[in-house]
Amino acid sequence: MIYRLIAVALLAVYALGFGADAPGWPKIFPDYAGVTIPPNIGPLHFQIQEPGRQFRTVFRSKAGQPIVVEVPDSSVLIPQRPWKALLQANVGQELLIEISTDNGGGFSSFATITNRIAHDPIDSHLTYRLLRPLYNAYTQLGIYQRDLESFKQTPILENSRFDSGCLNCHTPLNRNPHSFAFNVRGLAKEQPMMLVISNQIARVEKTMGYLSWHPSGRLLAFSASKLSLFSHTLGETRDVYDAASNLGVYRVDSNAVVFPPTIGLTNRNETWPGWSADGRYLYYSSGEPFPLEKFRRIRYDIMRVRYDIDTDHWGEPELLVSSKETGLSACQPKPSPDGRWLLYTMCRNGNFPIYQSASDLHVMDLNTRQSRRLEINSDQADSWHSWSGNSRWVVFSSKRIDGLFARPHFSYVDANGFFHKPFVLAQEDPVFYLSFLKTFNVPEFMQGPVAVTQAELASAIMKPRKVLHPQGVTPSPGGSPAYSGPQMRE
Amino acid sequence: MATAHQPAKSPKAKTVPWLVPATFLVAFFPGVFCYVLWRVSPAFEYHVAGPFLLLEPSLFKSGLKPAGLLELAGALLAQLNYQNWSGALAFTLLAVLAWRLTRTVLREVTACSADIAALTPVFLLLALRNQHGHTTTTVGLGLLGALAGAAACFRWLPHAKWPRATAWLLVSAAFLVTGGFGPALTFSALVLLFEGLRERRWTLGLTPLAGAATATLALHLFGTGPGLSSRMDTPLLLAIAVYLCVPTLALALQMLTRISAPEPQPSRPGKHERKRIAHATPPHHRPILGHALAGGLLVAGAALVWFTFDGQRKAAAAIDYHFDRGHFDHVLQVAVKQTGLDLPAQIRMHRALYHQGRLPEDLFSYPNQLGAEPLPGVIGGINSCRAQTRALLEMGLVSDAEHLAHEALEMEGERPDVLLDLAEINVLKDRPVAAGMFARVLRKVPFQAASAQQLPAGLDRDACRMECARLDAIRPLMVTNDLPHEGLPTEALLTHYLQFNPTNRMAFEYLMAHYLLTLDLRKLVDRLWQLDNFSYPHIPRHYEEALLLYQNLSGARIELSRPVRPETAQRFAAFSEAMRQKLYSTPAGQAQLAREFGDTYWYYYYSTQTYLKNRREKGAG
Repeated sequence: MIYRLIAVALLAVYALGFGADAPGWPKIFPDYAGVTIPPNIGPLHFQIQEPGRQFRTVFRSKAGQPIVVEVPDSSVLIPQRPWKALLQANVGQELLIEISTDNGGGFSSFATITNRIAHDPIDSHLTYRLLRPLYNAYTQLGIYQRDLESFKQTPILENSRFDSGCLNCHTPLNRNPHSFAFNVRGLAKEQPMMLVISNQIARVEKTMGYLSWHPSGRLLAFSASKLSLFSHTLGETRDVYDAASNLGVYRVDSNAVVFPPTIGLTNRNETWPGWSADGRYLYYSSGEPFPLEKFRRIRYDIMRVRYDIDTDHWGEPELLVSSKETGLSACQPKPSPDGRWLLYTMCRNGNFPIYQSASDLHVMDLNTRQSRRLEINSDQADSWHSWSGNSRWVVFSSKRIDGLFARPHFSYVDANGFFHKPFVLAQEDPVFYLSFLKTFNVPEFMQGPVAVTQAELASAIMKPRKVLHPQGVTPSPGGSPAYSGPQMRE
Repeated sequence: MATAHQPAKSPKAKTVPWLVPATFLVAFFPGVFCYVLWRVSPAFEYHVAGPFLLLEPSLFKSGLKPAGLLELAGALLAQLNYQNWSGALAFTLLAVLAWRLTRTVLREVTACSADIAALTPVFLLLALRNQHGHTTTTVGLGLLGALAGAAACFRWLPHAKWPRATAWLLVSAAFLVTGGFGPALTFSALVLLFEGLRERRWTLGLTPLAGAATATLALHLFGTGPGLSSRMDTPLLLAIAVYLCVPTLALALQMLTRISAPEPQPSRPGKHERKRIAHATPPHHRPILGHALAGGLLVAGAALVWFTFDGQRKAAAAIDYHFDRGHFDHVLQVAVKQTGLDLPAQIRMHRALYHQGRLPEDLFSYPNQLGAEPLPGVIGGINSCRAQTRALLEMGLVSDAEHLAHEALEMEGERPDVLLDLAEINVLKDRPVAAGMFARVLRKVPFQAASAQQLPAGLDRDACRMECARLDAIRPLMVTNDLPHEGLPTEALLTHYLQFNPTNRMAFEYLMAHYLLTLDLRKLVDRLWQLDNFSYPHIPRHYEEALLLYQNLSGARIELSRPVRPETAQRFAAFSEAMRQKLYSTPAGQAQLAREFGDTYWYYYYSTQTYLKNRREKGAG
């Protein structure tokens, strides 16, 4: 019986993919052992952290030519074309990594690392914000895009292009690189939202917080929050206090802002909007407000509210995750595009999980309403998650490598909702993450590269040709204006 | 100053050809070296402004950006400022070359030999050298490049029109791409003057400007424009003056030459002719004008250099430099000579006093800004964050030290001291990998390998704990209770901290300094009982002074286990008498008060009250 239990436990460990702990596996950095990878991912460069004078690494699978990398230093840099060919030829198969080192007496091998090449590809691009661990001051930051099939990173917009202001909350519409929104801060007067629809840019003179597109592109839910930074003398230094929050909706097609009473209760703070992929539900966090001195009591529930875009009718809010039951604060609800899962973060209190090492990702099966803490969490903050278009991949920011800087990690989600061992975004220099003093913030998938240029975006901020002044409207029981596709009014 | 091309007529007029340059080299340039070595002190400047390069491939890629090559070269050359002697030597060589090339170019353009006038760029570079930042090396190299390029082209380019036009276009475009507007402007202006004045081909002279303009347009089309890096604190007017001084000089010399020798110049002298021109004697008519101009220029140049020097800035840099090395006695030596200190320097001075055991004894023997807190946090300005980090770290307020260190990292970039602080902070916060990351970056900064060596390699938590014995002094002081706060409320933080660790002497002295500086006498007096926690031989002088003042103002009697020393009481009586006589009402009386009581808390107290009262009245007015 006991042997059976041990066998089951070992199998479970393997199935969970925590392969770096498997006996005989060499230590590599980043940890790309026992992971499931997309068939279209670029080479996963790593460093062998074992002693040796010569290092030989063989990548092989069922079909195609193995790739052999033999180097005198421990950095394994994989040629791109053979890697791509090997992955494409072995979709759904295992990818074996055989590492051997020579300490002067001939090569000796470690146990073979077994990875798996998933059937499901990942969206081709990832966008994120790069910034140092900021407190009050900021100088250099920007939003960047990374081609996941190579190492190419290009700036979408750096703040040096427009008076070193702040950029945040870049949010694509259905992962479409030609339609997205982001906020700008630090300008002299209004702090606008920038709206890009079909590569046409407009400056919207309305300060907005966290954003979420309705899948139709007609609405943009946003939070309007009064946030402030405060510090602790113990533990994680930074924290965010939400003095007052509300949710609003920006109607793109009519250039109007509305604050529906259903999602803007006066005795609650509502934030972190997230539309379902079918546009029928808005998910959000809602918490009871407390003064700063009682910040430990601030905990958020996850709610959803039904919405009918044709009639502009809001239903009654529905409680999905109760902070009273969990004793934790639930934030950042992100429904999967296939409508099956709701991914969210739980932290001790407040609504800014990336500043709390105890923050973990949780998932709810929307069919059964059953939630569980994910198997991919670490002892550091895991947050800022986003789904790929096929609902098979998630990207999230994790501070697991060093406890200070967030790095984008990917995890494969199989049909049963099992999240596979995550792996960090690969870099050309395998030890890049050991000296890169910037954090990857808000990783979001995109289906391709952004086409508008930095110059165009900067010009739209500083010398806009299209400026939208949204009108505040009272929500009516009637329907919203007829929809005629994404468009902008000046 | 200028010597027009004149045939030598008499043997008396002959001079030894190398005498003038040799005199300059022997007398002037060693003077430049000494000035930079002792007055400017490049090592102080390097400590404050760097540039702190990270030796990695991306650094050299930055040279490929528009104007990046010049900036990179300037930044690399500025690394020699790490040592005073090498920084001074590098600048002196730059100055020698600038003078030599200016002489050559002026001779080519105007056919004049102008040894003294050729010192103009040197004086301007010295004025630029008085400023901080690696601007001098960048601008200096840009000027040298433009002058060398012009001199080479004037000598060796074919005289034919089209090859010459093509060359002007290409060379000026190359200057713009590699060095930015400055060198391209200098080069283009010199070519314009050379072609126009010497060859009478003004149209041809405009071709470099066309080349530079085309290159600018091309760069903008590709989305990048040339310009000086934002990291550089460039005094723009001085930089423009450096770049335009040689063309301006050429023009002025030409005009002067025409005044003194109006006969037409030959179109272009041959090789032997040029050599002869170079050593031509001064014109016999109007030599006094030349000498007067030369003398005037030397005096004006020296005055420019002398008066553009910012002694206060150097003192602040010296304090920063010595503070970073833990030379607290040097910090105090510099501070005591100043009439006022900026906030970062004052914060450093306070920590130096603490380390010398003199904070409660001699705080007011040094200049203090009226009403300024000892640890103002971010409110004290972003440039004061770095100065506060060490004090907070030493006190055990590691999270607040981390906050300010990150502010400094964001605003001042990857400086060695900030990286070191952050590495240590992360060791203390049990984040060894993050500590290793800062150490790894620190190792990439030139000359910092030894500092980084003291830090853990980073990946092993246990190794980190064992290797960092020097941080063991901080570990027992680290705060163990959370106090959520906004900003850096010194009083609340230190009071909270002293509740749990009442024997932390640094926290106690800083809290008392806070009360002293913010004129909170009652709270200070309420804390005096805590003196028994520490081994002070007597009540520290400033606390005695505050106690006497409090008793005098409130009429209360405070009994302590230790009495106020008689000499303090006698001095207070003298001060009270001076105040009763309203000595402060006349300037002479004020000077006397400052002389006799300037180092006391009483003097600070009344000065601050007067200052605050005046400010309130001004505000109300």
